[in-house]
Amino acid sequence: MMRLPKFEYRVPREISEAVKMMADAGPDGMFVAGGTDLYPNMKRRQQTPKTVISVTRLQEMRAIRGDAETGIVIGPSISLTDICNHPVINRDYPVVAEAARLISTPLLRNMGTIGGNLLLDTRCNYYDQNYEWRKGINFCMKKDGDICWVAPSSPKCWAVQSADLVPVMVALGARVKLVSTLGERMVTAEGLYNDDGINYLHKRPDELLTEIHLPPRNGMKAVYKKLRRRGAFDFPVLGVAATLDRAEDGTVRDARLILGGVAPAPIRVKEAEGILVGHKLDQERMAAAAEACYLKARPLDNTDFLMNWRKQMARPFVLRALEELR
Amino acid sequence: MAEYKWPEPEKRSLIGKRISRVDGPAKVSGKAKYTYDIKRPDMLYGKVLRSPHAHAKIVSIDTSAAEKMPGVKAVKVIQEPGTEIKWAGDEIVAVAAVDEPTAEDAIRAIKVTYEKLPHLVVEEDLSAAGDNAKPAAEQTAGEPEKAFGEAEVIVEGFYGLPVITHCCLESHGSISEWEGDQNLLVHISTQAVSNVANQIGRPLGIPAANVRVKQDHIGGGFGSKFQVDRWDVTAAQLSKMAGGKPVKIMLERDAELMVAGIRPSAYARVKVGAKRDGEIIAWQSESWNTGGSGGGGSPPLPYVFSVPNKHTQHTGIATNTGSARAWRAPNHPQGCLVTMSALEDTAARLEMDPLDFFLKNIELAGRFAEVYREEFAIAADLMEWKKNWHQRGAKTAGPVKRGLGLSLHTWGGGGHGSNCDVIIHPDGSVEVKMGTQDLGTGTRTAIMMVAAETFGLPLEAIKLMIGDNQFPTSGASGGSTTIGGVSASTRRGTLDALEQLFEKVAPSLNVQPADLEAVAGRIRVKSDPRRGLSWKEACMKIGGTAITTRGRNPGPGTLNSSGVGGVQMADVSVDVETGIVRVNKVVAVQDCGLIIDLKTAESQVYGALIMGVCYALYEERIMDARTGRMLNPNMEFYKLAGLGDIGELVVHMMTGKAYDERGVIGLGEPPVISPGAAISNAVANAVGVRVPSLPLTPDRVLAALQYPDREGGSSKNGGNDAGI
Repeated sequence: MMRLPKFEYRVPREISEAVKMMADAGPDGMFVAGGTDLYPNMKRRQQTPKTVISVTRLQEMRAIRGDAETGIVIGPSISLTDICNHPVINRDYPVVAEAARLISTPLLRNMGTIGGNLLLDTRCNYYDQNYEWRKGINFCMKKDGDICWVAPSSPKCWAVQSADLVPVMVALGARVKLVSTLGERMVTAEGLYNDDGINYLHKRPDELLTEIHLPPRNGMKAVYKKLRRRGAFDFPVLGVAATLDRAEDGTVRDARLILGGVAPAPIRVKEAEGILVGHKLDQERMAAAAEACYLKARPLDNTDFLMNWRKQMARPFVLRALEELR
Repeated sequence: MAEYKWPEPEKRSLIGKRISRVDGPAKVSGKAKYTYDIKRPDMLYGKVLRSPHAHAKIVSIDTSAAEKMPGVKAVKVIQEPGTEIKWAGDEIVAVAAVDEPTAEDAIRAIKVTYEKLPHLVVEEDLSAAGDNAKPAAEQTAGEPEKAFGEAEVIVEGFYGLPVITHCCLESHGSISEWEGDQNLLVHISTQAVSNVANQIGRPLGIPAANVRVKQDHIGGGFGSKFQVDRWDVTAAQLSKMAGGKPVKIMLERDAELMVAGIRPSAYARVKVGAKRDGEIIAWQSESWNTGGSGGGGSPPLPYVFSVPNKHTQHTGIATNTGSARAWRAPNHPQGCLVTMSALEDTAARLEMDPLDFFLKNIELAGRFAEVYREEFAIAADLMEWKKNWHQRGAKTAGPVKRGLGLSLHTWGGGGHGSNCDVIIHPDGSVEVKMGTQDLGTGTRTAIMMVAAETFGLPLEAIKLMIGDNQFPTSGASGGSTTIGGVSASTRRGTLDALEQLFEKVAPSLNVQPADLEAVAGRIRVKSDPRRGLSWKEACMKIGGTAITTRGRNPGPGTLNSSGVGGVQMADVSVDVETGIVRVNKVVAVQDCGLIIDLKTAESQVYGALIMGVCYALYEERIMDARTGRMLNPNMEFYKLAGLGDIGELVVHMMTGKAYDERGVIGLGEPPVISPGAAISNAVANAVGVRVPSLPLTPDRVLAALQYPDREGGSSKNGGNDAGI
């Protein structure tokens, strides 16, 4: 049975205490919320913190306030189940609840949190294996090794961004608050992610995600489409998040199209957005936007399914997302 | 002497009814103990160091660091330097330690060096197999060349299904402990409680008579747990090295998927010749497969249909992968998928409804032709086949296309050798003891039903003891032979015991023993049912010594037989823009002779259909050509269907006089044979082209739609030449 390595477990009651503990722990420290990502990774020795600081007792991080008019602030340690069932989320930002319902299984949604999903480790067939398996191939560059088995000549790691809420948050124009002993700052969701499978976040390890801000909704409509092998549960091998804001006459004022699960970071396809903005949604424009997304998707062979097919799927998935918004 | 037959339908109080399994409450409440759950006093934990390479020679092994670690009680080299290792995951060294963490640390402290050798781990492309391909059986019947010359329609196709694993939810393993140096107690996860002692005694150099074997419950076997494995022998050796303390080795999940059994793959190029009216006259196939480094058998081709003129050739490919074991109906799902796909393609070329096409040729199915005919009529009704079937390629608007497919299958399932002791105590309590096992199929329930039926008692009046080799030997649970064996031995043993009881009771009622019957908790006079004794009163006539009989199979009278037929139909929806397949409904109509417990029989079929949906749509072992490793040795990447993926399942069991008369026949395997073929045929019907290989993943479906002539469509297996 895979077992956890030994580590020190700390449970702060306030954010200020939590970030102080992290500063004390240094590079061997990690925050944990539901643990559905970190603990299995620790069992496989993919992540090996010596000090694990739980954020589950930080009351400040468990509330939701605001509404569609003001925008809302979501506490990142709210469980995914609570996000799925939350009346304000379902009323004002239903796409967040819909995407949350597609994450994993009920049991894991009971433990996993919305913040944890946004910070989910990148994934790869050659990385998400137990220690002995990875040791057998001399590891990979994401952890303990030198090579990328997906693209051996590549200087960078291609592990895949695989969290369903990530493209959704980028599409919604969310911002997050990051806190450390050095102070706090707000970062856009779009700016949070980095196109590198190892350093996949523009967030220092000592920074704690304490708030998720969604802007006022105005007339915006949003949708998320997920591709996976099993309807019952699986990580996405492609996720499409789309938002549209249209004038009375149907002209698109603003659009966002984000692809998840096909690169180390979510991909915002500005070309596709440009095709839509300032025009009415017709079949031709939607097809052109879908084509632009297809061109930008660049999956590699490191998840389930053939990579060519995953790239191809960008077309119908974007098209269907737009049709649903029309 | 008793007359050995089953009671007439009107006299049955339990047999043929839907009875819930007796161990259900223990299982759902967690009280049932599986081998994995067993914890013995002072137990040590064994762990196995496995080869990271698919093909290599062991150069050196240094266990010194592990041996010095505190808490490590024994270290055993399983394969010595110089040995050639033929698959990744093969056992090299084992350790036993006071707890799992210590054992794992010890494993990691062992240093093994290897000389790596070239490996072959994929086999879909026969031409790439080189010397690893060994041509096997070649068979000719009739005059295939002449028949193809006379054929009015010739259809050629490529079909395949990949290696899958057994994926038992309880992994393989055992706990061994010694009493002195000659007596061994083994708790083991096994499909053959009565066979373990002999298998493990031999390599350990002790008599089978000195080995006690126990198993209460098993978490799946599917054919992979017939034999004592090397790690079981190792556990016993480690135990001995550690002074006899219990040593537990249960496989880790990755090892379970890499080394504890596979279903061989099968790929085939097929040519079918037929007349314009649908008569099949010729078959030709070139097939290949892998069963790991050893053989994997060959699929029966053509399956069920004895095409009069045929030529078949098969090639086995040795690969550097874990070995084949019997997988629920060995070779049949492969033969079925290839045959039923090729025949459905032929029907499609003829623009015939495959149901009409199959029925036109049903006489080629031999002995069960009539059974299939009857079953197809029922299945067609349950599926509304005539209303819902359309010519290949749904013409409906929108991207989601619906289609229907069908298949048929056969299996043996004759009862195995079985013995039991039946005891009626003077106080009226009843024991049945048998060295069999309940694979989760409901064997306990069936045995108790048979005994209770014979004695006219309620189910709970029977005390059944199984899962221990101190009870009379009974066969391995494989080949769907258990129900036929245990029901017959129990029936004979209980009838004999009842006859003895009648002899004791008859004088007090002034009748002959033959005038008595056991009904509803009473022993009574057949001609005057008011005259009689309660079961308890009757047993008081036994005297001081309990009645004890031995039930046997085989034995007198006809209580079981062999051979069944079944048909299945599938209804699917396929999104032709994405390739995603959804199973809407599967109908299974199955014959298994006389049914003991209708509920557990139906459960067997439901379970088989779920397993079938898994291998039709999701399941495959993915080997990485570059590293020689299995890429999905865990339950996340090895995809089994979730509850939401199954669709509606409709099960109809054939019952009635003609079926009852054949006696009891096994059921575990047959219904898992057809789902792959029925679902593949339904997908072909929906989208208009054949998706050549299972599982019917969306990338394969879309590739088949885009390149209908490409052999093999697409496969992830072995693929990984991704550039940037």
